This record gives sequence, structure tokens and C-alpha cells, in this order.
Amino acid sequence: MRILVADDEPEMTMVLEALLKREHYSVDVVYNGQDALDYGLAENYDCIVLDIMMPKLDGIQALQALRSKNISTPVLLLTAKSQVEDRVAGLDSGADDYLPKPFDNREFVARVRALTRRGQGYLLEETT
Amino acid sequence: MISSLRRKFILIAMASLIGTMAVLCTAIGISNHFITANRVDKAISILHQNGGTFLPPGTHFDPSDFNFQITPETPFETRYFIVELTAQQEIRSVVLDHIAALDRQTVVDTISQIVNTGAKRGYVDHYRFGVFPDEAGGSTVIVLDCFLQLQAANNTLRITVIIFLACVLTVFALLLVLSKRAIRPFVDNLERQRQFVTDASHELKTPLAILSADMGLLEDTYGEDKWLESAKSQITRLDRLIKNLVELARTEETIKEDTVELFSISEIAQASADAFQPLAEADGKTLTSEIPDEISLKGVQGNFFRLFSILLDNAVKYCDPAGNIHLSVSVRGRNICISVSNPCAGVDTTQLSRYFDRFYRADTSRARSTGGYGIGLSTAKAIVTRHKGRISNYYADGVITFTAVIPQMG
Repeated sequence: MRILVADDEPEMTMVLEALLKREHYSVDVVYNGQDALDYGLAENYDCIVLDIMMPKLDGIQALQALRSKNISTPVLLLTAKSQVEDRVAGLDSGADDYLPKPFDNREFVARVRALTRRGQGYLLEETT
Repeated sequence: MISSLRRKFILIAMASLIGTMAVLCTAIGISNHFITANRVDKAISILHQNGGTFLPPGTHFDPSDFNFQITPETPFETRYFIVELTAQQEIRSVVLDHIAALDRQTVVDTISQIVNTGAKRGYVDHYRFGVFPDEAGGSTVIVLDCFLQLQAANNTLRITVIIFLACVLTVFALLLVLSKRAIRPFVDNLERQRQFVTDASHELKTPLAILSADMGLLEDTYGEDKWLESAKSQITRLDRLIKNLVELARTEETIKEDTVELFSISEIAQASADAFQPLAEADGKTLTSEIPDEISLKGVQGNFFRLFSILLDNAVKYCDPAGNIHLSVSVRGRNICISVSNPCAGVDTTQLSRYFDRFYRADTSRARSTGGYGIGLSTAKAIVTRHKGRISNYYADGVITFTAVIPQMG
């Protein structure tokens, strides 16, 4: 399965990539919202992990653009903006899940798994 | 908060102005009347000394010298009459040459008025009198017409008062217009501070998230390690601190009207007491409460959950072993009174007022072991203040009590 990870902090994307690759996902990494939009339109991802505060386009704008082009890929917003208003705004913009930073690694992976599970039809996976 | 700052500013400025001007006007009024009376009394005593006439005028008289000066016009300008009384208060002789307004009868009436006062000098209508006893037991009464002088003095007073009022109104109008500009630096500073905390928290959380994720990966790679555990717990601590700071910054903002509602503070108090009961007991302490039913309060409900949480959490942390924590909610007049008390040994009463300062921790050694950042009470204060209430603490008989008084209807 392919995951797109978008975050402007290279050290963050390094960790996220490592966590996802350990779960045998194939990972593409981008560092700004415009690239996130371009990649999201070009490829068929099983899940997109988006930060909000990014240069060029922010996560919300990229998400809204993807949704307006009818890309229904599940999106997880992963961001330091954690106030209730931010969460509501993010989810209402089309995100499927919202995980504030800092987060627990296991929770992050579990949430990605949950989102990709939906895409494949509901399969009861064995927990590792 | 800003409007109350502006109101205070206007109040202080107006009070200073009114105070100063009142003193000024009173001083002018009193000294004016005093000087007028003095001058007239001087004239009266000169008349008495000279047997009813004035001295010849001096050679030099100057209108800018305010002392009583005898000019060539003085005998004609000064209107007076002189009456001599016997020892039995009967009129012996009357000199009316120098007065136009009075006839014999009015003179008699005026004299009897003067005699009745029993004073040596004073005013009767617009006349000033002086009573001088003579050797035979009788007395000489000299009465001077002061109409013009009194009129002048009263006019000065009236003008002073009118100008006083005009100044007050003008300054008030100016303050209403300009006070916003005057306090703008404070307003801006407040805003900048709030913005700073929110921005800073976002910037702080990003590296914190990377640290946290790195720790998780390290743990997976190398297994459990006490240094890793320590690092992870510090990250959690930082995360919570940032959260508390942001909460504090947001609580210090003025309430948005749409989040205000009427709710039952009794229910919230009871729910909090119930939630903290097991925590207290686990710590070997007891929690009692006195919460009458159906007390309502107008405010932001979530804030009050937080308020009880902060106060009770502190109480459990700092209560003496096996002590009893008491929570009470009551109505006092138009206010709701929330009180949390617990026994606590060794409180330094000189530091009590500092408890509500940010990051202040009372007893450093104990505080270290109980955790916390010193933000709780300043958040509590911010919550109470934004609801226009007051929070305070006191210490008596080894028991520390925190009391919040909040207007019931906002």
C-alpha cells in the first residue's frame, strides 16, 4: 500500500517514513502543500498524511483542493495545531482523522492502518 | 478587561481633576470671603478709632495693593451708620449721615438683631457690624454696607464654580475620546502576549513531536531503558506545560458572548467532588462537600469544570496526610461563593498572595514531588476574573482555604 506523507520538517518525515516502512507501506515524502496536491492528484494513494503548517499551500488548502477534484483518498491531519477549533476546521475541510502533535508512535500507525482498512473494504486484520 | 482598564483610567483622571479643582475653588472662595471680611473690619475699626470719620488719605494708593487703603473717595464710597447703646442696650444716639437706605425703624430692627447675636463682629443681611464696648458699660455699634463687596465675592465664587464644572465636563469629554488611545499600548501588549503564547506553543510542539517520535523508535530498536523512560516523561511534562500555558492565555481573553450560558453550578460541583473522591481516598485523605441543589450561574460552563478541577487537585496534592478536604458552594447576596479548604502544615502566610502568580510554587521541595508547574492557580484566577469575580486565599489554624466569589448573573 502507498502512503503520501507531507510535512515541512525533514526530521519529522524521516521518523514517519521509518514508522510506516516498518509496517511494510511504500512511502512518498513531500515538503510543501503544493507538492502534496500535485502528488495526490498524480498517484493513487491508500492514505495521505498531511501537516497543516507548510509553505506554498498549507495542509487545509491542499486538502480542499484534492477534495474538490474528487480525490477521496483517506486523509490524516497530523499537526501541532491542536485546539478544538483547529480540529473541527480540519475535519470539516475534508480530513478523515486528526492527530495532534506530539503523538504516540503506535497510535499514529494504528490510525493509518484504520484509514487504509476502510479503503480495502473491511478486513479483520490480525494484530501483530 | 480592556473596557474596565479604560474605565479605571477615566475614573482616576476625573477623580484627580475634581479633587484638585475642588480644593482650588474652595481655597479661592474661602480666602476671598475672608479677605473681604478683613478689609471691612479694618475699615470699621479705623472708623471707631477716629470717632466716626476716616483718617486723611495717604499720599500713595495703588489698586494692585490689596490692603485696605484710604483714598480721598473713601469717606464718600463707604456707607455706614453708627449707633451708641447704653449699658441697658438702649439706643442713645444714631448717626445716619453716611447711609441712604435706612430709616429709623429699620435701624432699630437691625440693631436689635445685632445685639441678639451677641457677637462682636459679623454680618447682618449685606451689612457688616462691629460692636465696641465703651468705659461706661455701653457700646458703640458701627455698621458698614458691604453690598458691593459681597456681590463681588459671591460672583467670584459663582464664576469659579461654573469654570470648575466646565473644566470637569471638558476633560471628561476629552477622556472619553482619547482614553482609548492612551491605553492602546497596554491593549497591544496584552494582545501580543496572548499571540506570543499561541505562536510559541505551536513552535515548541513541533520539535517536541519529533523528539517524542524519535524516543519511540529508539525504544523499539534498543528495548526499554530507564534513560529513555526519563526522556519520554520529560517530553510528556513539556507537552502538558505547553497545553496549560495555552489554556491560561486563552482564559485570559474576554469571554465571547456566545459561549456564555446559564447552568447549574451545583451539578458541576457535585460531579467534580464525585470525580475527586476516589483520588483523595487513594491518597489516604477524605473529601467532604456542602453543595446546595439548584444553584445556577451564568458563565462558561467548561471554565468551571476546570476551576473545580484545579482547586480540588491542589487540595488533594497539598493536604496533610489523613486530612479532610472540604468543598462548599453557597449563595451570598448576588454572588456565588466557592470554597475549597484543606489542612496544610507550615504555610508561610507572608507569601499567600503570591500563590496566584504564574509559575509560583509554595514549598519547593514538596512541589517537586507532587508535580505541577505553578500554572494551576493563575489559570483559576484567570477563570474567576473573566467572570468578573474575585479569588483569594487565607490560612488559619493550620487550614488553608481558597475562596472564589463570582456574580451569579455575570
